[in-house]
Amino acid sequence: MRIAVFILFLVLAIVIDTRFMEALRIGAVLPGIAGTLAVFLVLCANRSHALWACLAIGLLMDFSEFALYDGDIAYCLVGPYTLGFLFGANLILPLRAMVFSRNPMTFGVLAFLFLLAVTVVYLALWQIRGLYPESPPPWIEASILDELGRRVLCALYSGLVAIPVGWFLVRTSPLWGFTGSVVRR
Amino acid sequence: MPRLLQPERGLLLVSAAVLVLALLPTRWLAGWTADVGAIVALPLTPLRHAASGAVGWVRPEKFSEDYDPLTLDRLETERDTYRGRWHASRLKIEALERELQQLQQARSVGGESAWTPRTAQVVRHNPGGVGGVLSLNIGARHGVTAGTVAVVDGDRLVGRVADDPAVLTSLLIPLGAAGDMASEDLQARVLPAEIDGSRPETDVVGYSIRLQAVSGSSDFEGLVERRVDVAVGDPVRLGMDQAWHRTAWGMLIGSVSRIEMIPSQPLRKRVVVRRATSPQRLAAVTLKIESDPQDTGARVPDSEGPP
Repeated sequence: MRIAVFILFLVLAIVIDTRFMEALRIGAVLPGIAGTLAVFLVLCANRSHALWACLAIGLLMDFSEFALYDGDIAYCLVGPYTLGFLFGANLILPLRAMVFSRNPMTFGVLAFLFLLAVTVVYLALWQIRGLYPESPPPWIEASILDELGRRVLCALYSGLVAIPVGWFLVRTSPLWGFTGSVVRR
Repeated sequence: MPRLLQPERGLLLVSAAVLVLALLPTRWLAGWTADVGAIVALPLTPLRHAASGAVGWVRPEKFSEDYDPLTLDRLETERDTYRGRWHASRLKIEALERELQQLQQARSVGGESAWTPRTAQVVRHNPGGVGGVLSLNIGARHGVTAGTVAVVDGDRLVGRVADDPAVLTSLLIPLGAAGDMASEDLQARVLPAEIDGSRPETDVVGYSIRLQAVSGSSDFEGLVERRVDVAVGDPVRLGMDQAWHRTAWGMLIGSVSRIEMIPSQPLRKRVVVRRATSPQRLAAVTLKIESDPQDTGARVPDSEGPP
């Protein structure tokens, strides 16, 4: 896998997720494409590259999210997205031999499942951190279940967006220089 | 020769390190992680700026009249700026009179402070989040300090800048953001929607109300006495809340969206206030930066009277 191509797509995905997706907002529900990029890499790159790439995507996502400590001190929590993306990648890896990785519909379904896995880790970590004083989670929903519901809708929306995005990513696969260790279908 | 660190083992070690970081006490993470985040964001900022423009292009704001956009923007900004200053001035006058009566001490309430409006682009919001911290493309070099107030349309309060702004960027805590203590309990004023000279003095300065954030929404709620004449649509402005910089006083928080009777408190009624801005939709905000004596930019002194 070519690192330069990965960095280019990573930067584009983060910029689009953290700014441009506002244009597609429906109420409190926002789609994202970083999960689709991660699914694409899990399906096409070799295992080790895919896991490191997911870790990098998650790390950049974590450094793009700010929470507040003690009222007005901003901080980034490294972990919720990083570990969530690793967890999601490990869930998708066993499935890649069973799916048609060039079919855009595959991206829709897998991106949804992947983001559900990310959500579980994300919410669990923030909920544990809620035990620390003056460290509320960075969401305004009344309860973790409300936030879970919102994020499930976000995952669903992201799954829909993943269909065209996945189609585009498949078209760019010659650029990536993937080795042929993974069965392509 | 076997490699010292196998990729899988390296991944395991990094994952363990990230897990430890994720569970560290927040006071150990506060500050330096935001700096790292700012450094990481630095190369992405120009692209995010471009993406902000794209958002505005995809979802443009709608205007009812076909005016030249630049002229319209300028006129609206001027109108709303003066409106905000007008309300702020009224609050100050009331405060001065009260202090004069109670303390026999003529004391200005921030009357001498001057501020400079400066436009900042919103270059980032929390991914997938609602009500989170926003990132702006100007920082300490431009005079931004902790607590600098952000508004849109001249007088709509958006939020305030977090502690320790970076040199070129800063973090904006929106009004009502999760964990923002300054938004948990707001001293505000409910004013009538239409004010004219024939109304009594209470209509001009409004009624005091303490607003609390409603969990699970971006609304605020507070209690007023039942006799108080409050109607749906009445504007609610920030009072002299010490948690906020004085340049925020008098700015518009939102409008009354609902009024409910409380069976358990028959002498009071609950007022629900809908926020005037949606920070997550903003492409740019105006920062009210306290003027540097060496700054040659246009100044808007708070002490100036209404137009």
